[in-house]
This record gives sequence, C-alpha cells and structure tokens, in this order.
Amino acid sequence: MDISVELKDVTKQFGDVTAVDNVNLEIQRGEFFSLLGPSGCGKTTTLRLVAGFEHPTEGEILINNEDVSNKRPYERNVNTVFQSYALFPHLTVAGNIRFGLERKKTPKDQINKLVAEALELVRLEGMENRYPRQLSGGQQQRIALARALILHPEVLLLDEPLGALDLKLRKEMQLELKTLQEKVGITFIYVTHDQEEALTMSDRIAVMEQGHLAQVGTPEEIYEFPKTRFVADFIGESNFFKGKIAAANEDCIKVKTDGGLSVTLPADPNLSVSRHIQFSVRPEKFMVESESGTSEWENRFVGEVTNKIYLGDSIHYVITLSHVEKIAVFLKKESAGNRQALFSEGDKVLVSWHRDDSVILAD
Amino acid sequence: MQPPSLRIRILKFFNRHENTRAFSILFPCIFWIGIFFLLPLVFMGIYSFLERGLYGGVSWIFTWENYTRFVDPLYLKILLRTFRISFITTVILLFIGYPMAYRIARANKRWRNILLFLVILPFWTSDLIRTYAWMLILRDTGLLNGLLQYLHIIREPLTMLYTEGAILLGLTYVYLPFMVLPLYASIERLDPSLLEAAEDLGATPFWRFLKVTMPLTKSGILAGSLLVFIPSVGVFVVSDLLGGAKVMMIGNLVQLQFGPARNWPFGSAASFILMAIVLFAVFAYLRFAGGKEALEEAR
Repeated sequence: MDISVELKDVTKQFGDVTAVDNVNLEIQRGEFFSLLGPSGCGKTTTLRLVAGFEHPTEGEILINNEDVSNKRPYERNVNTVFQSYALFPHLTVAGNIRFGLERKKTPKDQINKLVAEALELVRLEGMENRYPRQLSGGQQQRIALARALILHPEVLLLDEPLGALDLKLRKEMQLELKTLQEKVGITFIYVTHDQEEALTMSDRIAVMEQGHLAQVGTPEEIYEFPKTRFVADFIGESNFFKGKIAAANEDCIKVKTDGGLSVTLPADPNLSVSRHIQFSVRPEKFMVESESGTSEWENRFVGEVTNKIYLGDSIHYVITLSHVEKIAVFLKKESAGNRQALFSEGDKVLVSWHRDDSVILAD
Repeated sequence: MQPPSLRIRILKFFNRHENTRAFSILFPCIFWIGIFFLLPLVFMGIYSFLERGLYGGVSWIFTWENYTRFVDPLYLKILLRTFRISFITTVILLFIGYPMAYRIARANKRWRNILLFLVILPFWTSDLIRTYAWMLILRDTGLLNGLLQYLHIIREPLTMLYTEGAILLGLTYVYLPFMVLPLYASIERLDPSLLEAAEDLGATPFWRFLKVTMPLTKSGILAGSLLVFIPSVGVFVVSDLLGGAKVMMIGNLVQLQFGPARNWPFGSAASFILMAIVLFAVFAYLRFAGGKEALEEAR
C-alpha cells in the first residue's frame, strides 16, 4: 500500500520542553488515523508538524514521499480543520470555501461549481451567502470541512474537530465524518483525547504519552492487547494486578499476585520464573456467579461485593477478592443467557475469567 | 391605602416614558455639549457672515465676503497644503504604525505592556515642549546639522527647519500613538488561528495579509487614520513652530485671524470651510474604504 505520511525520528522541542519525542510513523493512503492521548501528550504538536505550522527540531516528515520538513503550510498539499473551525468572519460561507481555490487561480465558473459540490457534500446547500456567525456550531464545523476538502489535499488534518459540539451532535458527526472519509478516500489524521471517538472512527490509532508513541494499532489491538499500563488505563477501563511469576512453561504462566491470588496467564517465552510483572483484565471479561458457581475457568476466586452501581443496561460492581484485591466488574444485564443473577452489596460471589483475557503489560 | 411615595411615583413615570428615562441619563452630557460646544459654534457661524469691526470685534452687517475671499489662490494654496500634509502624515503613519502595532500585539505579555507603555510615554510631556525639541534638532545651528558638519558629510548647514518636511516629521512624531493604539487594539483581537487557516489554505504571507489580516483589522486602520488625519488638518502648534510663516497651514490662518489680525469673521469662515471639507473627506473615506458598514457605525 501507498504511504501517505511518514514521520522519521521526529522530535520537536520548545525551549527545554520536548513536545514530540522521536516519533516514527507510517500512515497509509486513505487511512483514518487517530492520534489519541491526554492533553499535553504531543498529539496536537504532531499534527501541527504535519500541517507545517511547526517545524521539527530533528527528523524528517514526508508527505507523498517528499520531504516537507522545512516547507511552509502553503507549500504543502495538506489541509487542516481547526478545533475552533477558524472560519473567516468577514467572508460568507461561499467566500470561506472558495478561499483556497482563488489562490490556485481556478476559473470562476469552475469555482462556483466546486463550491456548490462541496456544500452538497456536507449537506449545506443554499447557505452560500450566510456569514459564519449566522450558523450553528455543527454547521460551522461542516463549512470548515468543506473548505479543506475542496482542495483535495493528500492528507486532511483534524484537530479535535468535534470538541466544541454537544454529545448528541458529536455522535452524529462521528458517523458522518467516517462516511465522508470513506467517500472521498482522503487520508485523515484525527487528533482527539476522546478514546471512544478514536475507537469508533479510526482504522488505526496511535496512543501518545508524553511526546512519544505508546502504541500504534487497530482499535481492536489497542483495546484487547494494550502494551503498557498507560494504554490499558487510557483506553477503556482496566483492573491492574502486580505479581511475581511462580511457574512458567510452554502452556501457561502462573503468577502469585501481591494480593495473594494465584492467577494463570497465557504463555510468554520472554518471561521466566520469579520475574515481577504487571497484567490487566478488562472489567467486562469477568464472569460472576453465586458462591456455588460452576465456572470451569482456571482463574476462579471467591470475593465479596463491596459496591454496586446500577446503569440500566449494565451493572458495575466493585468486588474484593481475598480481602485485598479490589476489582471493577461490568456485567451486561441480559448477557450469558441471563445466568448472571443480580447481586447486592455484601454478597459472597465466585468471580472467574479466562486466562487469555489477562494481558501482560510491558511496564 | 396610603398614596405611593414620591420615589415610587417617579419610577412609575419612567416606566411609562422610556424615552424620558433615556434622556434623563443623557442630560448632563447634552447640557455640556450644548453650552460648551454647540453654542460657540452657533456664534462662530453667525460671525462668519458679519463684517469685521473697525477695531476688532464685529459689525452687525451681513456679508458673504468672508467666504468669497477664500477663492483667493493664496488661501486655496494653504488649504491644499493642509490636506496634502495631513494626507501624507496619515499614509506615513499607517506604514510605520501598522508593523509597530502588529509586533506589539504579537509580543509576549510582559513585552507587550512595556512596549505599549513606551508608545504612550510621550504623552507625559506637552506637544509644545516636544516640538521645541525638534526645533533644536532641526535648525541651522541645531544638533543634526552640527553632527553632519562634524562628520564632514556636509559643509553648509541644510535648511531643515521651516519646511514642509519639518512639519511632516513633527506631525508623524506627535500623532504616532494615535495611529498605533487603535491598530494595536484591532490586531490584538485577531485570532491567530485565522492566520494559520489562511496559510493552511495556500495563502502566501502577502496574500494572507491582503485577504485576511487587513480586512479583519480594518476598524483599526479606519480609526487610526481618522484620529491622525482630523487633528492634523486643524493643527497649528506644530506647523507654527516647525513651518513658520513660510509654510502656513489652515490652523495657523485661523489662529492668525483670531489673534494678531483680529478678524474674527474671516477666522470663523475659515473654520467653517475647514469643518465642511473635513466632514466631507471623512464620509468619503468611510464610504470608500469601509463600505456601508463602517458608515453605519460612524453614524
């Protein structure tokens, strides 16, 4: 597959602060790629480096196999949708959308045709002569999209474009953006701190932590097999266990956790006996039964419900295992043939999970 | 039931008469402007149609002469010079003031305050003293000529004082803050992400300035130009000291008529002609440069 954007050993420093730290990335053409992380993790700086608003202190940025590291934004075939939309207040909707085309000296009747097409694409026909201040947030958002897409960039950069919208509109726009991206086939690089947004929309996600890449992968890989505690914690929720390896063979690893549980984990050739490790289990991976339960999974522990939160379609429990390890458990109410009954605080329960649902973390 | 108190009655009256309420707030202002601005103007308007008294003052005889007298090439030349100098001053200040204001607006917060402070610092001393300082610098035996002669760049002193150039220099110096401050205010409000968006959409720095920066700071450009142009047209201290009798501006003419010449009717007429032309020029400028919106705002 074609590589649309490539970052080679890119580092960006502002004074003493290293905002982006030795990042290597290859983004495929037509891919919906998300940069995900908490604020200050360097995701926006990475985006601004690709846009050309910042220039790397070290390393190279290639767009369409051409080194653009030191080119200005107007010399790059890249367009940005800003968090604040940055629509020109003194221009009409049409004036905003045609701004880039006028610079390219496109003939006038062609411009008008393209503007009409762009407005149709974002479903805002007939808004040509409005001013941005007369539009709602969602409409402004779409104008910003149309303004960038009309130039057919190699890459479209989106900096938390849905951040200012209310929840319902955000959900709608997520779907719309994804559909739009598939339709136009342009590479999208999408910056967000909202893990759910990244999971639903992206083909691949890069999770960033303090300027470097913590993990790059498909939403499924990132969610199911987080490499580090940071990723497991940032994406969804996780229960973390620390422990020491008691036994290891080709089949499995036995770990004695700090809380005194004997847990069976999938085999890992890199790990040997008496190493200290950390692993995580997602809250929805647990099975909870009454004390006399029949689970055949190896990791089976008796615990006590210490907290219960009723959420309608699901129930969240906090369960204490062997008086020490507190875990969060999410249960779908209608799942598993309704075998899982409702428990109350103080109930003794049997908690179990499959060994493959324990993910060993690198740190 | 007790009759309502006076306070309540007053409040109720104002509730029924919204316009009266608005007027009562504006009253001090209207009173002030009426007594100290409009009334003198009316007097001057009347004077401008009267004949000059034998020993100063006015004779109550109606005449057009004070206005027709202005057609004299001598006065037309002064009028023309006044507008030429004011126009050039405004243009020079736009070119000096815009980059200055831009830099200040984009400096970090600490520097911004220091620089703004430096811009308004000259206000701490009077125009008169600062203009005298320029006289010391520019005159034949002044600092600048002395320096140039000392460096053997010139042999004979250059005539710098009492020229149009000296007036231009003095005016640009005195009015710089009036140009910089409104420009600063409008540039500071400019959202930097709009500039980035322009660049992102393919605009070179020049195109970006033309299509985004300038239109969005138009209010500052208009305000700064007017704040410089209007007082320049009426100036007399700077032109008197740096231009002297050779390079007279209309402000000097008016001052001359009210002062040494003791011809109040002609001075009044000159003032009214000046006022009419400035009013016309300002409206023409707003219409031309600002479009309809600015004109509405000005109204």
